[in-house]
Amino acid sequence: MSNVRLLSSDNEEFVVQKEVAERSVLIKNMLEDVGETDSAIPLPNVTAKVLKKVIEWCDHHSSDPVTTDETERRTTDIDEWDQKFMEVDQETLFDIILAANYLDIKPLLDVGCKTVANMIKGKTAEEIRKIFNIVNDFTPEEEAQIRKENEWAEDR
Amino acid sequence: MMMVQWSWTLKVQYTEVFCHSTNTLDRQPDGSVVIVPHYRELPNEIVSCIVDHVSTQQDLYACTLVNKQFHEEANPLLWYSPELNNETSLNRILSYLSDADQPSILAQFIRKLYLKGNHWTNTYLSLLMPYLRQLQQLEIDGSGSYHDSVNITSDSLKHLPRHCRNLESLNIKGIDPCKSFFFELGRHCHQLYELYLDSCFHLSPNTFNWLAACPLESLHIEFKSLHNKALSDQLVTDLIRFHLLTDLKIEGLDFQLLLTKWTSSHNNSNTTTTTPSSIWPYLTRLHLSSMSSANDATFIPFIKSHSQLQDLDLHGNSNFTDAALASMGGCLPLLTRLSVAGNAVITHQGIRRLIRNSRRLSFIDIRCCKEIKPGPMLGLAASESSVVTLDQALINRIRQAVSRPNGQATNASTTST
Repeated sequence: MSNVRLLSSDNEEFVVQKEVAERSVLIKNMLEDVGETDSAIPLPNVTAKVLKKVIEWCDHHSSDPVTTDETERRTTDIDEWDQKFMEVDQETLFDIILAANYLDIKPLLDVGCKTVANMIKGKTAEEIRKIFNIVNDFTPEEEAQIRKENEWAEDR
Repeated sequence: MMMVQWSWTLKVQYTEVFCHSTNTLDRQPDGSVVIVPHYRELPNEIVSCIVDHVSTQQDLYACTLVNKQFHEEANPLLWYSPELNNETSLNRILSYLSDADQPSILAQFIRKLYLKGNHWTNTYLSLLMPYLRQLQQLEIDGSGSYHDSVNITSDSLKHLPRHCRNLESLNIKGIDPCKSFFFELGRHCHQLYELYLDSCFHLSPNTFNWLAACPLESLHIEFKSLHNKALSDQLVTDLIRFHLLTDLKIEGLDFQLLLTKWTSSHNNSNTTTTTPSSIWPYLTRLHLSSMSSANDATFIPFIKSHSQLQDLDLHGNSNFTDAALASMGGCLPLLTRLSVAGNAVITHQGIRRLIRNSRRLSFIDIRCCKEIKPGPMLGLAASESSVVTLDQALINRIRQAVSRPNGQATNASTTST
């Protein structure tokens, strides 16, 4: 089993098994384009701290079958290991999601987004803003307009 | 040493949490302080992925009010398949849609509707219809209990096709559609590829002729009281013209009549029976339960020319024999599910041979088959003589028993003892 060297944005090098690294479609394509190489692959958008987490996830899931079924991808619950894996502070959670998006690791992106979606469950818009520290950028008129449009969906 | 290491860890955590320039401190009502990290701008594709995993309408609604970015991603999803589960929400959506100065852009997002509950009346459906131009999937459930069933009849249904011209899938339960509904459906809905109706009492002989312009791939129809010979004759003639069908489920129609019609047009179109059929060449699922009986002479040629069949439900057809099963074993390599319930002539030998030859079979329904005695005759234990459906595990065991070189003899002796 050949290894691949990955270089984080803060210049930390990680040596990873090829099949683990190839969970990332970005890296997989890169390896196919470049062929066998000794130089490390630079990942300028991912810090060592986040890359370490991402590699941990890829390592655990290195032999997962690829799910192409859209409904299955959306409806399956997060498994126990992934739940534990995602028990991180919010900053890291979003870092992982952004890294999964950049590295093109769809299942990890899904797990991350599902985790965020679970945090939204049962909350009001105001509560959601508070959890994620999101600024309300609507004017009062805009907000009133949306309430009017979507009032039918309000369950009270 | 311990001390040094510990304080170092603390220091790192301290720098990570407190020195993040954009974190804010939020004072809780109880006096405690929570550090809320600064929300970073997320790319639209990630917000889209997050709201995609939000499962309830209530949560999606909340998302539309968070900020502009969340609104942009969540609003089309909220309107894609609105759940209008009570009169209040129905009144609210109608009042918004009818108040809008121009045709609402939001109405164009409505693609999928499931109508359930007795607050759905002809009036409400008629009021909503003009806004459903982009609707693709509609299910109307009038089959449940009083509170669950819609109060919708043909009076409003017949106008639906005129408004919903992009309809692709229509499922109506417990409502008998009138003749003009089918006429309108065939006239306007030229994208319709799935049609499920379970209560048809008033069919015109022209029903399927009217629907000829619909590219039907999946058709489930239950006819009620279809005794008129001329009527069924015309229906069957037109039915075999839906050449895109992959999934056909018909109850209450004469199967033998269908096969006879099929045989005559099949013989006209090509002479050899081993070439793929020109009628329903893509058919994989066929459920034809009926009072009438199909015989081998008409059924076997049909089997031979539909080698892609996977799921065959023929319960209630009592005249085809082991010969038909043998041709299934030889000609239907993809067959996985079969029901022969109610057939009085096929035997356990026929079933055993079929199981040996059809490697993919994983389910057989043999209820009320007089000549089939499960248990030792089939290659099962004597205690299993009351099984009525054969699942994957049972079929595997029968397959093992029959493929033993002297399987036949072993079982015969078991039977005699």
